[in-house]
Formats: sequence, C-alpha cells, structure tokens
Amino acid sequence: MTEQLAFKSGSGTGVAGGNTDAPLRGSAEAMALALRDGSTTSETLIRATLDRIARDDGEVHSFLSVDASAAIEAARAADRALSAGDDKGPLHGIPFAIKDIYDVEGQSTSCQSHIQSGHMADRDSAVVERLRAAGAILIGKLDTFEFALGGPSPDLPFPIARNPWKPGHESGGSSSGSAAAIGAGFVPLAPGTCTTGSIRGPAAWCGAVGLKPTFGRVSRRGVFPLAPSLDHCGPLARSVHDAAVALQVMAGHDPADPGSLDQPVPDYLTDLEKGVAGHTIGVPRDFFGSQATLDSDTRAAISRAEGLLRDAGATIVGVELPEYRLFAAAARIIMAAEAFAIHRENLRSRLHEYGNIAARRFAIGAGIGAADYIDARQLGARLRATVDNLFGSCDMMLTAISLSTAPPVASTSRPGVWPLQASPWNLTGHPAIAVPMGLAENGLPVSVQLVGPRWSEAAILRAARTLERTSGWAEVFLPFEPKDTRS
Amino acid sequence: MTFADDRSRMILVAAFEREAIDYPADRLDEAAEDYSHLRSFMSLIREELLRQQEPALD
Repeated sequence: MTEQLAFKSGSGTGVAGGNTDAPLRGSAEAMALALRDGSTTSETLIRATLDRIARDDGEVHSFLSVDASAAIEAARAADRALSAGDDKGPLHGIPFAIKDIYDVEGQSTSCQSHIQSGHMADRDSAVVERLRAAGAILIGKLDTFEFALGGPSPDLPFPIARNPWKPGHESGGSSSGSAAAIGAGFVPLAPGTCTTGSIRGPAAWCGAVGLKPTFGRVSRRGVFPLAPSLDHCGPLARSVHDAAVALQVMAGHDPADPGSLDQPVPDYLTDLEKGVAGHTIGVPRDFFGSQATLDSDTRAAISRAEGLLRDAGATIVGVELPEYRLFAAAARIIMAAEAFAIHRENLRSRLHEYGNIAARRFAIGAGIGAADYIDARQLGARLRATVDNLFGSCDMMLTAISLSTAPPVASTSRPGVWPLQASPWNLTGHPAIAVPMGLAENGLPVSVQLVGPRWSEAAILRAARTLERTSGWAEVFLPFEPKDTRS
Repeated sequence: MTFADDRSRMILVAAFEREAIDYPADRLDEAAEDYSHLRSFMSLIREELLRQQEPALD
C-alpha cells in the first residue's frame, strides 16, 4: 500500500511549484481575475479555448459540436459589457460546454442517439439559460452515452470520449465528454447529469471536481430524463471554487421541473476558504473497505484525506452505513423501471434505431413489475432515513467515489461493472462531491467523495476546497496544459 | 458466453411479448443475462424488506 500518492512527471503530467492558495491554472476563477486586471479579454480566452480544442480534441473526442462563431460573438459582447461597467459576475466572459442531453436553443439535442434525429430545441434548458444570463459563453456540446445510459457504443456513429490522462482508459460516463473536456483543460466548467453517478464517476476518473447537489436543488427543465426520481443536474469543474460559482448560478427553485424544491440558496463562496475546523467527519470504512475491488491507491487517498482534514481541525470518526449493495440494488431497479417507462413507445416502434447497449439496458426494464418498483422505492426511502439519522452524529462523510482508477477501455459491447460507489446518494438525494487527490502510481487521477446532509452543499464544498488546497492537486499539470503556463 | 438462467429468459420474453417489443432473437441471451442481474437485485430488495419486518429476536 502506498500511503503517499505518487505525482508523476513527464508525458504531459507533472508537478508545478507555486502557491496552492492561488486560483488553479485554467480555472474560471483564474480567468475571471485576468479579465478584470486587464491582462486578457474574453475574446482572447475563447479563441485560445477554440484553438486548444481544434489542436487536441482529436485525441480526446470530448466535443460533439463546437459553435465557434457564436462563441466569439458572445465573447466580444462580454468584453464590451465589461468595459462599460456591466459586470455580470464571476462567470462573465468565461467559456463552458454542455453535455448533449441539455437543450440549447436552435440546436439538436442528440442524446447521442438516432432516435433524436431531427430534434431541434426551441429554448435553452434552465441550466444553460442561467449560465448564459450570468455571462458564461457556450463553446459547444459534449459527448455522452446514448440517452445518458447506454455506455460507450462503438456501433453508433458518435465519438467516444477518451480519458485525457490515458486514452486507453475509460473516461467514465455518462458525463464522459464533460469530464474529459475539463481533464484535458479545454474548459473550466461543463455541467453534467447524474442518475447513478454520472457526474462524480467521470469527474473522478478524469481529474475534475464533480458535484451532485441535493435532489431538487438544480432545475432539470430542458434536460432529457433518464430516471426522474434519481436524475440530478450539477457542475463538473476545474476547481472547487469553479464548482461553487457554477452551483451559485445553477441552483434555485423552478416550477417547470416537478422535482425542483423551493429552498433558499445560500452563498456558496463566502465561507469557501474557512476550512473544516470543528467539523465531525464520518468515515464509513466497511462501506468501501469491504469491497474486493478497492485498490491500494484509493485506500491510500482516503487515508490521506482523513489526515489532511484532521490536520485542518476536523474530528474524524468511524460510522456505519447499511450494506452498499442495498443502495445499489434499489437504485438499479428504480432506474431500469423509470427509464423503460420513458422509452417504452420507442422500444416498440424504433428499437433498431437504438445502439445495442442502450436497447438492451432500456428494454430489460420491461421485466420489472409494479410491486418490485414499489419495493425498491420503499427500500430507498428507508435507506434515506437511515442516512439522515447518521448525520445526527457527523457533519458529513468521507468515502470512496471509485474503488480504483479508471479501468482500461472495454473491448466488447459488454463492459464490465464499473467500480463506482456513487449511486447511494442519487437514491437518497444527499449532496456529494468528488474531489481529486492526486495521481495514482499508474498516472491516473484518484479522487475521494464527500457526502453531506441535504442542502449542505456549502459545507461539502468547504471540505473539498480544504482537500484541494492541501493535497497537492492544485500543483498537478493537466495532460494537455500548454507548456507556457509551467513557470 | 452468457450466464442467463432459463427463468430469467422466460420472464423477459414474456415481458417483451406483453409490451410488443420485437427484441432481436440473436441478442436475447445478453439481454436475459442483464435481466438476471436485475432479478437478483429485486430478490435482494424483497429479502431486505422482509428482514426489516421481522420482529427482533431476544
């Protein structure tokens, strides 16, 4: 077992020196500072982003489409506004990209499926609308899995996003393009969606921060559903600060989403740097530690995170959760049943238009009866109550997000079970964040997960920021980072 | 190689017929194998709910 994670150098990765309290290189925070001190313009940022995508995305395949002219036009408008004193805030003039199950007005929402052929969105999704209103500039649409479920589908004519750290390894999914684009350093922000782990899983494997907010926190209007009682929208971002800024913009009640809840949105930035002193952080060691596929790097990362949080003033305590397989089973049955209901008509009439993986995974939901679905919902409710009670004894939990680094790309249409522990918090609706801790000995990112009580995003962001600042991750260079930033 | 049990395959075929889904016969083994996993999850859920209903033994 390695107690200290290795930081590899060479092959596009490495370690930079410098101040870990400074904004991460390539982050929205760093870009916003540069815009305001006059050292760059939004148009310069957007053109540089477009150049890097054109140069390097041929290896990563994170983007499905790029709308360069619209982005440049929006950047010029952002520069004019900023010059005139019309500052829309920390995302003003900052590039972002979006998973292609979010509607963007005037563009097809492909969901990476032939089923969506000819679709045209007549309005931005709520998240895109909010980000644009905050001044962020849409670069393009990002790779996903078919309808955010299928899996990497080589039988479909869509690119498959590769892990930017090692193209022979999975990028995760279904927010694969979002995580890969951030891990490659193309954009600092790329909202994803998460039904059983599709934000935190790919974020962990590609070296991004991934935040699944509390159920009901972010509107899903204009996002193609997978399983409405489990679906969440949330940010994938270069840094914890960027995730906080994005959530600030994305969060809020929306009556157009039946799952949206009317809860006040706190300020996620005010206390972001205040650390975790005085907090009690529970570690459910059996939850992840009893899993046979837990690798030594992940075990070491969690152990190291415990130490860093303790050093920052937190109290670490052991906690016990129900068995992981109970959460996973309930989430799988609910997802399969709800996804089948959504695709039922198309499975009857257009089955051949789905890719093989999606067709299979959607169709088998036909075999789930009403009583089995209700049982899964009932168990989910009981597990949620158990976790709610657990938060009476700790302020948040530290646990695994993936039991190993990104596995090698599957060579068949039947990928193995991915070693993620993300779905429990989709089932229970609690907020959870994946935060990178460093590079494992194999050169791939390794991350940990923080989970908090409902509506506690500010607290888990603060703990994640503590880990980001102290783990050394801020000093690791991304695979495609330009060499001229390595000073 | 697939590991679908006969029972899972039979239930799934019946479900496809009920739902008027014309699933390709040459891909049915893979679907039945995935469905057998769902069946094991459904069994686990039922067992857990039953276990929680049982009175605690002194």
